[in-house]
Amino acid sequence: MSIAIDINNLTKQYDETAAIKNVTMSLEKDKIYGLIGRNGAGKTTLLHMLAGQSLPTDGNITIFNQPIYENKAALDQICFTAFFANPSFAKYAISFRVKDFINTAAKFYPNWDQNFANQLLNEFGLSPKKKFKDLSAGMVSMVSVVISLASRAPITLLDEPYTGLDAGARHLFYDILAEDYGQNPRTIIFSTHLIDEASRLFENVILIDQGSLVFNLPIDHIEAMSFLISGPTNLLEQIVVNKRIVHKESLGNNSSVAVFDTITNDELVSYKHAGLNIQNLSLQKLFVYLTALNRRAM
Amino acid sequence: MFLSNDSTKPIYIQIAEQIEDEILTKVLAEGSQVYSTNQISSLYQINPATAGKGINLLVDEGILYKKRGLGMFVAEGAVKLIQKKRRLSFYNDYLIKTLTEAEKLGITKDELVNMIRNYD
Repeated sequence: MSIAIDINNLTKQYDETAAIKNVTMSLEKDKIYGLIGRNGAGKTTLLHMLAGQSLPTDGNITIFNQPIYENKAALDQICFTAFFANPSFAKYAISFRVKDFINTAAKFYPNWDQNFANQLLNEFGLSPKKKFKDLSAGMVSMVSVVISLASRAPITLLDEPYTGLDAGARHLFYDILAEDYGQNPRTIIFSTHLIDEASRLFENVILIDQGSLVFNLPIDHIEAMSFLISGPTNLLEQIVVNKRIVHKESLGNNSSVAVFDTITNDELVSYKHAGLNIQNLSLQKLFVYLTALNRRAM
Repeated sequence: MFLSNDSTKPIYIQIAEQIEDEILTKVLAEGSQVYSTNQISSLYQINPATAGKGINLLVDEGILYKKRGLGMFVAEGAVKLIQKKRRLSFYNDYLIKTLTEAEKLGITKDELVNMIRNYD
């Protein structure tokens, strides 16, 4: 597997806070990465640096072995979209139409596919003539999504592409992404709060908490280590030992524990034999428990 | 076909098992063509690589094979292969749960055997 993005000891310091601290990881080519983290964890800061829009305070990033900053060869391969309807931008854009955003974007991306962009606008029900001031939050997100997908950029970064998108539009997004990625593989990183919903599309999950990298793992490794085990409390405490427990709940004589650790097949069978109930622990729950733990430890 | 987010099995294994089920129940005949990874990933809105992983698992086990330029097909003898494979895990995957539940309910082994005999 070849490496698309190499990140070494990356740090972004703002006065006293480090928004990103010492992050080191390698991201492989042609994979879909899910970037998850609590609000303020540093996801957007990280994406801005990956897109060459902000300079690291320390460390470096290379894209296909090249530095990004002010390097056209690298920048041409990257597309970064985020929710763009913030108030200061809105003043300039007030009379822009959807087609203006699309036509402008087309000039920046060497791999731009206009037919695909038109098809996407159609599928989302977005009228090219509509003015920016008349767009709802969901529609603004749709424009961002259309641009990021039609760019066919080898490195496509989406910062919370769903702001305002209703369930129907989100499912349309997943559908289109799955299909287009299958036909046109590329490296895609998208940050999201809707973890369980989006997780089927992830090949790897990057979890950032309070500026630090918690893990960058293939999703099936994570799934193979995520369990919810329940049963009588004393039985549980006897049998489930030497495993990393991230959450525990009790009601009467029964407890359930969330485990983030490897459990061999033999161990699983012995747990079942003993009468314990074993279920999958969803990525979203794992995320909630891991990030809550970090806070309690402070 | 449906996927369960609650199952302890990774999605790619669920995909593989669903295809195996269709082969066992003859919905997918030996020699016939199987769905492409893009079709599967579109249907379930999963990453095509995950769908591909499930299919590759079956190719590695000799249940499916690839015809260059055409796609994936069910191998001759796939039914026997799947039955043999599943017999090994039948006890762990299905029987243990039944036996522990029967024990809880005070159902004797004889009663259990009778239930099995009477199953049509």
